[in-house]
Amino acid sequence: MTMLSDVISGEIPGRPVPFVDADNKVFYDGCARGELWLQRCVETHKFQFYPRPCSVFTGGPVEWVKSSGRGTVHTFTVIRRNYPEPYLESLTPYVVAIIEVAEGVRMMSNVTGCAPEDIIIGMAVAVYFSCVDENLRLFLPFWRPAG
Amino acid sequence: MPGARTPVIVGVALSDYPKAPHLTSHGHHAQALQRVLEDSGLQTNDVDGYMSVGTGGMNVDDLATMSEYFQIKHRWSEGTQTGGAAYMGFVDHAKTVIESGICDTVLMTYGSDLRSNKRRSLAPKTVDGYVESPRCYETPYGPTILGNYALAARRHMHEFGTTLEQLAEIAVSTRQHAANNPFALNREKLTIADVVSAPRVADPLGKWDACVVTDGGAALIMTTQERARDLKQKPIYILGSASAQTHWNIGQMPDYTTTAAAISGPRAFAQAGISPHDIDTAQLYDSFTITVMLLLEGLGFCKRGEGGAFVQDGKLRPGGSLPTNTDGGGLSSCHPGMRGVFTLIEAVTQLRGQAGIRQVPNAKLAVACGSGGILSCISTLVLGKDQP
Repeated sequence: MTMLSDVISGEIPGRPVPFVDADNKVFYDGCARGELWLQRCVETHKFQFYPRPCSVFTGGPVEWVKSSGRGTVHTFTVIRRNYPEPYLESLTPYVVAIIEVAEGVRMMSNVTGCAPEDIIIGMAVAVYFSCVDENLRLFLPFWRPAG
Repeated sequence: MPGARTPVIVGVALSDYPKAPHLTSHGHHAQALQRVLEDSGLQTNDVDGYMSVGTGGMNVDDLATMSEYFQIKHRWSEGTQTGGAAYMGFVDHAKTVIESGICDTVLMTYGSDLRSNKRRSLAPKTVDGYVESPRCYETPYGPTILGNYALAARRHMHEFGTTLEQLAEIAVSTRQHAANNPFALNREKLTIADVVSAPRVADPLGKWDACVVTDGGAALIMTTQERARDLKQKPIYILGSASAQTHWNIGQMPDYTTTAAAISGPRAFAQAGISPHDIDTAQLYDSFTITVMLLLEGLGFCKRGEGGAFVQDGKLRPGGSLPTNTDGGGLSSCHPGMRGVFTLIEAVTQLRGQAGIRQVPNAKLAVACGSGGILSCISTLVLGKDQP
């Protein structure tokens, strides 16, 4: 049984990294501090992901709120072959999952720190952050089984 | 009520497939154009509307480039890029344009050298190693195309108890149709055991749950019923047409087991005044086995979650009660990047009664359904052999 190591987080040569822009700077600045920040519609108080400067519910303004960083696995796949870029070869098998964050939004990420066979839909996971570009101090959220 | 300006499909053609190293992407457009003019009896000068997504396998060239390439003197053109749903969307839009009198004759062309052009890549679009919003929230995690569909398949299995064998039936029925198409890429026998025992590519899906990668092109011409009287082919009627979108990136899919087919399907059937049970043959975008199952459910052939039980009796196979993807589909025959137009052309071919040994006997009503993005944009056409 292969353990999904945290090697998929961290800086990996060849991995595309996010371009930080005006829409997502608060999000990635939060990641660098070890915090998951989400947007909430000012009028309806509903959360949204990904970041954008308007509410998907009303078109109106949004505000930033720090997330609990808790979630569950909504669905997942174990990537074993036919990866689109060479750098991914050494990482297989790896898990791509849709995480349902406690605040009600979903986001794609990797689940690490357990065997692929141990992952089930509904499993509780907790966010952690890993630096994917040391020069830029750019961190991304990843998830592992909640302790 | 049908009238002189009722839009009809009067020409369809395919370029060489599945392997055509002698054709560029533009060359596929050109060969399909020549063949659709021959098929319909029209000339390029008759065309006053043009629609194309360009030279897309997975890449996109300009509609304007293709208009230049063919020197089409269009009064109106459109290239809304909804991927595998684009050409069904085109028919929907062309219908309105022809009805309203903006154009009389609309040409659509598609072409891709995805298999033969070794420079093509499925790698994500990046600039100097950076990926921009909103793709930046997915690409760094290493998603793959099959993996994205596997997310939906896993959820379907979880919610409804759908089995890999039920999904495999879709690959098997499609392969049986491919055996009746001499051009299909894969025609050798495939069993459910073969499909479920093949190596997993992205759990829970394996090699035979995925479409083939081929070259291919297509063209289609629509005009008015009045103009069609002088043309070579019996016109095919567009009884219902609708498009809907739920998301574009897979991480944004609102419900991983419900597609926009649940919106565009019922709209198209309501326009046509028929129900899915009236359909003689279905041509449904089959990028992956799960795609077909979700489209069958969304269109209303069965209830949500019941796709597994619906397909497992073999009704999608040749001679079944709902022969589906009768040319061998994207799973076994031809998938050059955006398969939508091929499902449309197979539907027309069946309704014309020109499908040869794979002809569905007495086919009068067909549905063609395109899925673009990752189960994102779903356009549905209900087509008929007879004047409504």
